[in-house]
Amino acid sequence: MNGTGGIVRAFDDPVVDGTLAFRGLMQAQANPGRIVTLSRPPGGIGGLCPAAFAVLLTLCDSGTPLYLEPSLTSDGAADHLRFHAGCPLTEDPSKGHFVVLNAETGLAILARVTRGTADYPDRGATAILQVPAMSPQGPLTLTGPGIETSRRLGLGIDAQATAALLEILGENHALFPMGFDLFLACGRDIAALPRTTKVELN
Amino acid sequence: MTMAASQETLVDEGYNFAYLDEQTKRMIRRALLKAIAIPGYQVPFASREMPMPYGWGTGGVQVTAAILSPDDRLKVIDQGSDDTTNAVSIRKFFQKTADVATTERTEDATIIQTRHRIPETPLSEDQILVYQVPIPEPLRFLEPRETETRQMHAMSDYGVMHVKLYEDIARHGRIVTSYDYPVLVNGRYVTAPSPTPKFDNPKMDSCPALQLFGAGREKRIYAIPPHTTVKSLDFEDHPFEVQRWDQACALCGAEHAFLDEVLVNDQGERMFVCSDSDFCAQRRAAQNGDTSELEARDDR
Repeated sequence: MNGTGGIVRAFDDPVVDGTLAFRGLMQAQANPGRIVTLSRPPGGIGGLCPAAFAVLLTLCDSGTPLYLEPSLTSDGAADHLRFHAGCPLTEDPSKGHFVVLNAETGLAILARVTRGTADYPDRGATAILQVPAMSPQGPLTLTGPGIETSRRLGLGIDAQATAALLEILGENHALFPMGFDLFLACGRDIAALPRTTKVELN
Repeated sequence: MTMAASQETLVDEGYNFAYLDEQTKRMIRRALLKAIAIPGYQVPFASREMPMPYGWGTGGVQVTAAILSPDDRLKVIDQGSDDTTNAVSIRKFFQKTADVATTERTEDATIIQTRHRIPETPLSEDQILVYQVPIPEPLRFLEPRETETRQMHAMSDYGVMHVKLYEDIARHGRIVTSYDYPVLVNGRYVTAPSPTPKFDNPKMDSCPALQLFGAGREKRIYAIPPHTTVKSLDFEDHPFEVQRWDQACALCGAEHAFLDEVLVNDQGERMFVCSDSDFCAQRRAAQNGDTSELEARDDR
């Protein structure tokens, strides 16, 4: 971040870095729960970590309304996204094609994002949840498409938040093929929990 | 654009990397991620006009263009072969617009774009298979209305497909559908495997590679993530089975590969050879104990 309130650079090379970021996202989406470190992400912006910023720069444009949780809108992230991605910002989480939340504060909002329709389940939102930590050992056990047997994941959130997240994800999974798809972001790391993934506590 | 400058190949610097503009790539990338999240469901996308006609793989080309990175090694096959017109022209298209490395060896490729075959060599977790799809809707010939087929998918209303397969049995004594044989992906969506021979269907089940499908004219993208169940539809008393040949490949002797029947002279003599040109050439090279045949492919 610079201190002048000006706009800073996003991807160093928007074409190649954007492609590499997308490949990271696709690898994460195709292998739910696998922690993928993005190779050439942008720096973080305000409350957005590099991985969350990379997702938005890679996928958002004028056709994809974006919802940022209130704690993320104040420190320049919104201006940078308007400038670099050109995406409209919405204040209604159920209108966002992309929704960015913090795990500590945003779980109640996560329950309100759009799930698409039975005819068009692809219209379900893509939510990005910023978590304090991610590890391949942890209390969560994941099964489903993209996972050969099962995969473990830890998110560095307390038991109460974990229980709240599991309830939302369980309800989301049960709605299949409708539902939202979740990216977890922490620093340069990204992992995905698409709607097909069944998440259970060990 | 910096990566293309170093080599003096026929790279065309006038285009964005891999031809498509960034806005188009974003749109396709969003569709791809949703397709992976809903295995077998056809995601609508704003298919672009490409510098080749519909039917030449514009859907697959758009998917490949949207995922291709400068680090990839691309293989393109048409009916299993690396050296037919469609495969050669698509490979050249990406050499020209992305300066991407190419290969004919299945195991060396990171992305394999295919028209109507899955390679005989087993795929790995690091590979992506991109299918060119003409008709993505498996129910289309049974129900022409998109509004109806969309409802049928929404409600898992697939009885009509089983009736179709049953009518095969009633008329012919067995299921005669031999290509584009419908599959059930992840126990939910009936999906068209593109017109691959049904011989290849078992390779799709729990495949470690990511499978992406692009239909340009029909404007649909769908996907099968790695390690996902893909079941060919059948009946308990008429289980799914693949084609068999009563002879081996005339060139390499492979007994369990998909074979093409080839006319060899004006007297109508014919022989059966592997449709997967790389698989066949590698087997022959191994039998001859050298690899020169792999370099000199134009002897066929």
